[in-house]
Amino acid sequence: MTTSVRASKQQQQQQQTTRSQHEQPPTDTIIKEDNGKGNYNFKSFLLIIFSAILIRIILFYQGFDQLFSNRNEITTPLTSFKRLVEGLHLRELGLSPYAGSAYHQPPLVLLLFYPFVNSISIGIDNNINNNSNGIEKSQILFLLIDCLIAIALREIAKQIPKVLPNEMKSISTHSNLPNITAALYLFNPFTIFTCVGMSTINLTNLAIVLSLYYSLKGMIFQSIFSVAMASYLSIYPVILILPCTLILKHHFFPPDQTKPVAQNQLSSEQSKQLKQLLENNERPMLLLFYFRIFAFFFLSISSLFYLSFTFLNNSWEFIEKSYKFTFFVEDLTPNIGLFWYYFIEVFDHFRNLFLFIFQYHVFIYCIPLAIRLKEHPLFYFWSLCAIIATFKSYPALGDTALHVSLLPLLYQPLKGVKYSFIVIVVAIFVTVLAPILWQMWIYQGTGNANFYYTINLVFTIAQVLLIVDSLSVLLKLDYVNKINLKKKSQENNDQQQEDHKQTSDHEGSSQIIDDNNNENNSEENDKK
Amino acid sequence: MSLKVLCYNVVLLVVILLLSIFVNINEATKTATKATKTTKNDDSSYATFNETQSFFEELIIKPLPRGKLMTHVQFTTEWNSNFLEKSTFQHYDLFPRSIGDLITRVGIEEFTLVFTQGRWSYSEWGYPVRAAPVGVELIAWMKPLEKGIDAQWRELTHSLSGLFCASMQFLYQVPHHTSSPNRSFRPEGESNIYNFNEENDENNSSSSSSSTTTTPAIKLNNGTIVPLELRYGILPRESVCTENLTPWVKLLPCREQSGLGKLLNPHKLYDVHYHSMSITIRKICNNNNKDDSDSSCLSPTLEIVQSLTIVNDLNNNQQQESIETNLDNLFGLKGNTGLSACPLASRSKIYIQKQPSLNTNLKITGSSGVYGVDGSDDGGGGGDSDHNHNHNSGKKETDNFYIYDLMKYSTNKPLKLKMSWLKNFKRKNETPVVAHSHLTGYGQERGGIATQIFNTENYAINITYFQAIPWYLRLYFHTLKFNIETSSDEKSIDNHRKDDGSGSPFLSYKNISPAETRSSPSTIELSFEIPPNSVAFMSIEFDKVFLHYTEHPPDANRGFDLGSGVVTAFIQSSNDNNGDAIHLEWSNETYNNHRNHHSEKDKSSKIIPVRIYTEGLLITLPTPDFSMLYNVITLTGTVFALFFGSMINILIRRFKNTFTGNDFVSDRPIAKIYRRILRFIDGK
Repeated sequence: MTTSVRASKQQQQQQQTTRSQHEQPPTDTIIKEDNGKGNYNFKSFLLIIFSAILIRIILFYQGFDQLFSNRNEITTPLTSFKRLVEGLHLRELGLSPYAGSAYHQPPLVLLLFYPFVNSISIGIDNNINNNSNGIEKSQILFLLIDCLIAIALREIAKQIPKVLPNEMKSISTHSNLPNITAALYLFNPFTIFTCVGMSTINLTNLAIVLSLYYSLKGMIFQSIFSVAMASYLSIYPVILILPCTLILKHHFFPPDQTKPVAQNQLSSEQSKQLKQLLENNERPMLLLFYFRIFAFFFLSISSLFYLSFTFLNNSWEFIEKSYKFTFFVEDLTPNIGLFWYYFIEVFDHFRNLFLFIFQYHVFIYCIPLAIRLKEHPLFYFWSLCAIIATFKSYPALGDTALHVSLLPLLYQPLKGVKYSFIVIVVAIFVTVLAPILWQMWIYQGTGNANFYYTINLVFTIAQVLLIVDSLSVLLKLDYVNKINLKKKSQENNDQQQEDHKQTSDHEGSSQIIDDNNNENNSEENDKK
Repeated sequence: MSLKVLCYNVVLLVVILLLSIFVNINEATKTATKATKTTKNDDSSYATFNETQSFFEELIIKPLPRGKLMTHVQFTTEWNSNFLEKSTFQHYDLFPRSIGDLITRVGIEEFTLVFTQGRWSYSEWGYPVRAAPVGVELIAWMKPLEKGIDAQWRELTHSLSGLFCASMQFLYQVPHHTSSPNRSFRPEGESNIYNFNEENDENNSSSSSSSTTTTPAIKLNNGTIVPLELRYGILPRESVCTENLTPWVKLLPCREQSGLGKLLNPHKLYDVHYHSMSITIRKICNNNNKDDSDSSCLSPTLEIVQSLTIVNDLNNNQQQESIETNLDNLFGLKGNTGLSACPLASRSKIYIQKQPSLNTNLKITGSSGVYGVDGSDDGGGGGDSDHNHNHNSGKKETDNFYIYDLMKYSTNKPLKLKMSWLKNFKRKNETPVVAHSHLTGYGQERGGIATQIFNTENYAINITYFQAIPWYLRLYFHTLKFNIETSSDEKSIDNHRKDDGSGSPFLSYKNISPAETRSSPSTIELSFEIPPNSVAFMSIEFDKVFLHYTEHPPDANRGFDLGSGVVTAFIQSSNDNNGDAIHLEWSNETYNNHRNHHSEKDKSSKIIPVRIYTEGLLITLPTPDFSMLYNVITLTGTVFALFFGSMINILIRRFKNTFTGNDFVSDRPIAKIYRRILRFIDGK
């Protein structure tokens, strides 16, 4: 079907065809492709990966995993590795892994870690008896996941300019951007904490990144399956199916801006007719396309559910224990979100109302954002990730790490963010202060819960600022670009009136230059 | 004519009534009501039921080291009747009616309710007569009725809390502390109605403790065997006071008016070191009633045992070498009236434990008030060992006890007891099995529970350990560790985290059931054999759960009480043990002495299940700020509103090109209509 869609459009997209030849061998592994082209400073990327692994191994070796996996900013009830081990242990004893309300992750996570069960138990044993411990299989798995995410991010950075020229202008093969993206992910302290703390949020992050990667590659099934996997792992990413659909649509039904030059030679009536024809052709294909995406999603999520169902000896228990647990916020252990203290303190008879509002709130933005950000599916993807990370019921630093590491992909549109300094400072502030205030509340008894809650509040406000700021910048920039385009087309259309228009055109361009200057300044701030 | 006959009849009736009342009183004052009736069983086998109700009262006094004194008062009411017949529970004599109603309504086979305050020091004082955890403990064996076991449990807890003015209803409403252990508890009664699946008795089940668990069952009228349901609840927080004592005393036939009941003076009872008040209902087999050698017990006796154990601290004067006290002062009897038997009691005795192997130097002066028949008589301490059978004075001496029979005293010549003993006598042999539990870790985030069980005897002892831990401690069962260390040769085998309890070298049985949030507790039940002179360690880690603010008690920073662990040890009672440690020794002497051959068999096997409780623990959970409700709601709401507001602001904003100078003209239909209206108003 893909080929037929393409065939119908072949006349108008020459560039497109060359690009699709480019990506013809998607089945090859990523590294091979890299080697084949030897681009984007692959050697330095190897260095980055190597040093990132080294850092993590050192941290594991020094027993920091114990420290980090006990931190409630890093692990939540839904992602804690200790609870995963408990679930495995209960399953080994012949009980349901969900008995005892310790384990709340979907059952297939258990299946994934099942091969490591022996090493897990031995590992914990060592940690308790003596602090010197080596690297275990499960920790290597977390390492691998992190590296995979980094590689995928690098590929995404390479892929974006080809698929979404709106979001990122084409980059040269010597550009450092892909490497920087990967490095910013790998050396982000939040990521390191999450990896060393063995938080299974990494799995969700991997699924999310992969869904972006595959949708940029134009692989419908893989991309939709990744979204389904992510939403299976932690229900919220289900809304990411919308940006993925948009990206895929960009892939298969490119917008009109890549018009063939030949169109100019047609008369206006002819071009209109052609357009009409194309649209008429496109509409059923588009419907089919949406239907395919829906069918794929339904298929993958139901197969995942069925697998879990059979894995748990024909019981739907996991739906209640995992998803209901997420939505009803049954565990009030503090994390970096706002839910825990709110639902500790809220009056009983308002509890359900606010639960509904808070959970609903995460999902309401996907439609308006989709309408507004039709042309910027990557940005849409990022903002949904950020909203999820800020307002989900059990957020952890791993969620923040994901959307922060997607930011370098958007560096071009986001050059003009105003509050980047504040956001960065607050992030550092929170990372340092949160453990201190926690210590004061829980261990010293010199503080109380409000201290820690305040830090959460500040952290959430910082994320809110980041989202709102970038969104407004993007929309402004989008508008400016649109005006410029309009002017350009006007220029092209009536070349006789060139003199007349010149003044205003000059103004517009100078404004853009001004914008860029500002952006450069703020970017320097960013780098700090 | 007819009127005359009527009058005659009425007079006759009145006379008969009066006569019967008189006869009743007579009988009651003597011993107990007796009536014989014969009923026919369903399976056409005949059994005779002697309808008797009788009442016994006993007082045990035992000096403890360091100036403590244990006093145990026990009131037993027995009721022989045909309990298969419904109408039995409509006539009461000595047996308290409220309890009888409860038994029929809830379908209770057996229950024990203990109110305790203070901690019994097992290692120092030996074993108590009836061990109890801190707070309220309720053990109930129920036969399933149609309404379902949960409804029965609900009815039982609610009735008992109404009856005893305690908050037992929380055991049903907030079932943090309610569980049903498999092995730790067996029915205490010896009635053969119980039909165990394997062994038929619980007391000598030490041999079968290594085998699979047996569930007690009951044979119903129609011959079907129904397993009994056990519910076990602990309320560690419950404080025990007078309002619990008063209804308890009301169940006694003589109340606090005469007999040993006179000792129940609330002022003194609660000013003590340890206080434990219990009521037990069970069905025993009274071999007096057994008419043939057939071991089946067709006519069980319903027994209600009310007991009160207190430990007084008489350590007033530091310099004093010996302790001197008398019973009247100890219990604050008014006007030094002394003691005499309750008129309704068929046995009323005082036992004073001699502990001959210990150097207690116990001296007792029993004065009989006005008529000093044995006023000069003093049971001379350790050296004077003449068995003085003075039937007139009601004093008797056995190897272990001085026994005073209160039936021999009356209100005219009551018994007044004076005792003295050495304050710091040494206990010769240690308590065989002692258990302690501790909290480990620090901070309010996570912690652990560690339990140690010591065996100081020279033989291996079978132990069953049970602990129910409420859901607000989230246990990690993969951190459960069990280990036994033998002090002699220091060989220790680590066996924690085996695949099954069966695969481990120590644990013969391991049952784990994790908690359900906001309902059932986690339970751990382990059976193992502990080698001589060794210590068993058990530890498990937990997370402290963050609770909703309404789930905290009013004094949230005090913390939550954790119920005691139950250790059931099967201890051999050796002859040289002189009754110091094993409580059942004197029990055989007292309320068990009328038991059938079973008890003798028990005695020969010499393995006695002894229950001890670990310490109750206090856990502080992280508390929220209880005054922040509105602040948190408003601040969080503000953040949400901030985000929502700015998102709306951005998403619906239309950018205006300030550089081209043209005003933005919307082409939306609503805007068009709006413009048209404006134009219409302006008249353009």
